[in-house]
Amino acid sequence: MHTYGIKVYNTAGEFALLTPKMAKIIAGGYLTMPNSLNGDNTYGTDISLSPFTNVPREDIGVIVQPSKVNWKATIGCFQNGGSYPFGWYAKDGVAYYTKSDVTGVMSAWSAGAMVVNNINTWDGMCNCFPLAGWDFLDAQTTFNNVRIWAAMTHIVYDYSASQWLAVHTIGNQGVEEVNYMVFLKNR
Amino acid sequence: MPNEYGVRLQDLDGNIVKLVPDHMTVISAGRVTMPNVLNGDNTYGVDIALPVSNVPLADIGVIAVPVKVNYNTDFVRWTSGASLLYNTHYGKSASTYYTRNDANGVMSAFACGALTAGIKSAWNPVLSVYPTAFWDRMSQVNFNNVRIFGATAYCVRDTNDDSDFSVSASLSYTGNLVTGAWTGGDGTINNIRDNNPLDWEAQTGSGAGTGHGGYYFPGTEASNSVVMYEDFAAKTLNSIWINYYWDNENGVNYNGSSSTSIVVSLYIDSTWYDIFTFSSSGATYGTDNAYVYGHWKNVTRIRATINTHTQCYYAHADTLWAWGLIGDLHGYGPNYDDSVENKLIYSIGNQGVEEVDYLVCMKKYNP
Repeated sequence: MHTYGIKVYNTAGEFALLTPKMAKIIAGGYLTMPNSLNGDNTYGTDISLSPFTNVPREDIGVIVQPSKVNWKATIGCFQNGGSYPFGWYAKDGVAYYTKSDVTGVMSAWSAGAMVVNNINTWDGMCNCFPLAGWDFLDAQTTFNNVRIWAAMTHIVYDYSASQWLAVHTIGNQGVEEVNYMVFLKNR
Repeated sequence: MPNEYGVRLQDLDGNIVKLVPDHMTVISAGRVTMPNVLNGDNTYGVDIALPVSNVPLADIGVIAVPVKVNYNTDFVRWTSGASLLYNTHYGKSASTYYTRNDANGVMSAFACGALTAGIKSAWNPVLSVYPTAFWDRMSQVNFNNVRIFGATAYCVRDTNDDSDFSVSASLSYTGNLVTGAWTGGDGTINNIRDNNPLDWEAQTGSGAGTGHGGYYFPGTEASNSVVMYEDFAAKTLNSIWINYYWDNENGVNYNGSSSTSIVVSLYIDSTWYDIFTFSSSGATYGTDNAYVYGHWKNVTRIRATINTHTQCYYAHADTLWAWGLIGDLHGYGPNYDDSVENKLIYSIGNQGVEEVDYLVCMKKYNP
């Protein structure tokens, strides 16, 4: 039970106890996400927490929601008499990236070109969906900035590597705009 | 620079907050039932009123999370015996879907096809389905309300019918085209796209004579080959349709043999791939059509090869022939880029996202 703070009442007798846990909005609105990686091959837009520095992770709240998205896939149509089965594939020439959860670094991934008689060039896709959030490294515990990350995630089977991958498209090829809000407590 | 004003609050742990206008005030929160129809202006969603007018974008924060979701897709699978050949989800023709204009929020009806046999554009495959909800700003920068948008999103293909690319091809051949033959061929290669099966008249005959046969003496044999090419800019083809004829005669007195083969090939990335082969030997004749289906990218040439062979074995000379013809050959493929056919569509209300949990907050609260 708090023994300190400021009580603010309304006429109905309801009150709030103002304490350091109150959220302060540092930044909000929408962001147009960049179409290219940062210089260190990470991705996203930094929102400064200034004038605060070295803010502990547990004092920061971030909301990011994709509001304008694009997706990139191609299709193979394998007619069967009068019907039309389709298969979805990653599209060659599209800039897809994998993302290291450890470092945040994005690495280019190239889709196969669906070459006849070359199964390794047919990278099937089973799903895609937008992702967005606060991107930080596990080892980082205090912050001067908040990195907003967003991308369209495509789940593909990289046939030549025999593995499932989550590959991302960015900016006007992926998540183009996000709504966001960054807030702090204890500040 | 730190604020030089405000009320400082400190807890027993030494945490301090300075109360300033940037602190967050919850304006509205809870769960909203999403409507089943569009608004009068064809936008969609529920407006949450703000306590003051013309609130700047940067002063508003919104959380919207879909919590009750419905989806509408069709499903078709093709099997052969116990094996699954294909497995595809499609949009449903009976469902109501919308595209959304990101700039102004206006929704436009999108109809999925009814999976009609033989009409590719009536099949709209679905890659992905996911619920979404967000603050729909509709390009505004100051607000009296916050529009909560929630819907089930579908990554779908707005499929167009395949185009017949044959008309744009340039045609050529090697070998001996034979004139005056049974089908009325004139020994030329013409436009192949008018669905007249005799228009691409490439015949081969074996032996003497200008027709499709010849008078053979024992021990003699003859072969003939015509190779025809159709060239075009690199395309993706989904099917080839071939109309072909053949006529083999082993001799009135059955003293010989004759055979015909027809092979259609595609030239892709500097390599030929045979996609259709027909062969016939002995005393047979006829005509047939064949569709060959696939998905071939970067096709730049179609090649049709007709080979005929006749040989007389026995003591008596005889009349033999072997004869083949490609009557018509069409290449069909998509004429639209992925960026045109890939679409994001939505279903709404009790056909999409039925309920959304939300929170609307703002700073500089001063009603």
